[in-house]
Amino acid sequence: MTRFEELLEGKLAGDLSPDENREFAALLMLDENRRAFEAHQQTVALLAGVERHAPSSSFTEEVLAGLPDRRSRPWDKVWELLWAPRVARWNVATALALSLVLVVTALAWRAQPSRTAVGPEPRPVVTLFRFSLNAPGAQQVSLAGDFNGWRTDEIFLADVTGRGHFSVTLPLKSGRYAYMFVIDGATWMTDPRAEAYRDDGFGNKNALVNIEAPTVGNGDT
Amino acid sequence: MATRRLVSIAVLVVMALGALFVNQAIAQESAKPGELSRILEAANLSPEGKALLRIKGAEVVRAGVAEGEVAGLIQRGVGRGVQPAELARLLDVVAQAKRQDLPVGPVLDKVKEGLAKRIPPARIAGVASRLSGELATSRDLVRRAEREGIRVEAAGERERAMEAVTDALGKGVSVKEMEDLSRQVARSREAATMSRLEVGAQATSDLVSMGLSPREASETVGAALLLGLSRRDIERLRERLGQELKRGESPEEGAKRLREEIRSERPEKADKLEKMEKPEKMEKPEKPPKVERPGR
Repeated sequence: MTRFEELLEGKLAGDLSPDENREFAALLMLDENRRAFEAHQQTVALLAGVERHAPSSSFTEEVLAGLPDRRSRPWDKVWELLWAPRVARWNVATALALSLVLVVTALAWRAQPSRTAVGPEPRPVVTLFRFSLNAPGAQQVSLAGDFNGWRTDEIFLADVTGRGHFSVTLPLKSGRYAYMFVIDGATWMTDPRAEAYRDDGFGNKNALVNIEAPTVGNGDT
Repeated sequence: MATRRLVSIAVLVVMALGALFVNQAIAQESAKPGELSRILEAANLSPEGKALLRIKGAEVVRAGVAEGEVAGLIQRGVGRGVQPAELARLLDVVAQAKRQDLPVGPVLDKVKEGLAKRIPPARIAGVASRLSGELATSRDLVRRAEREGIRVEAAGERERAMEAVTDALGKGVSVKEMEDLSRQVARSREAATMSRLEVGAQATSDLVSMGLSPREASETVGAALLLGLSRRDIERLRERLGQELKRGESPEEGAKRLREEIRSERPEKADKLEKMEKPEKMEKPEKPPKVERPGR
């Protein structure tokens, strides 16, 4: 900065001493200095006519955000991203538009047939059901059906009396089950006294049991 | 401020450690040999047979069937002496059902049933495919029913209705008859629930298996549904028809008497039943006489 520029700064601020004022007046004799002084005076006059505005509420944050970041570590950048306070600008129109979007989304969601609100699956209630078969002469009778994946080696009926009256009691959830008896591990037999029947598609009939209510049923045939 | 920062750091550290732990657990799980591999390793099959079943099994698992189910089916098939190519065909049927978004349980059950009964695999595949087709028809019908206003009130109701409708279709009830039944459920407004469609389809199957024609059966059940009979009463239609048959009535006569009884139980709605029973008597608008146009 030249001496004239120093004095010009003091002159515009109005804090020159009398000696400095004299020195400044002497330097103004030069055309170049006088033109610079006049240009500054015109600028001051123009700025005096400019309307002053109050800074926005986020002015400080914006200025701070504009400052060069002194921290260079990536972790600090992530930290800043996560925890830096942010100012959300909003107006009534934006808030109304956002509310409208939320309401329309909720209505569209409910209107979809596949999104029908359903209650929770009722707590399964188990019903005891007794399967029985008169098979005199049979050594072993097992039971296979939908309820055990048609396994023939899992549920065996007991002949308690020793007179060929086999039975077993099973806990079953409500529903409709197809089943058959297997005699001596080889012969498939339809329950002759079942409540209903259904073709198995393979040329035989499966017996059907319908478990409805949580009461002790009796399938004694 | 410093305390908050420390707490935040602690939370982030715990989250990072948790993520590492879960990642490790997933890695260990995927490294464990699957049930399918274990079953195939233990199976008494040629290397080619094992390879075929490994590929097919993986395909079915990818389609969304539980690995345990697939492994169990293969184990059962191999145990019954089914050839790998035939077993692969059965797995294909299951995978196709799953890909069509059908309830795969009944198809799996049918394959298991066939294997247990030592039915030839080709026949099992045919029966299971037919069942898949009926399930697909039922699914479409249940979707339409839902669009027409039938409500699903509990999880699993759709699947149960689908299975009941499939059962009815398998007994010879036509799609149109099932659609009519569904419409009658939908018309009952407050009682228009999927569980009523299920019980209606089930009762129709029962009546058909007692010797009633599918048309008579669906009309009888439809009448009961339309008149707002309870679920329990609809389930009891089978017993009531049984009583009529014991009296020596023919199935058709028994069904007719049953409908009359239903009508007398709900006399205020008898006119609806009357219209339903005699659709041919409904007045049709007269067609305008044909007029020949000149020049044609």
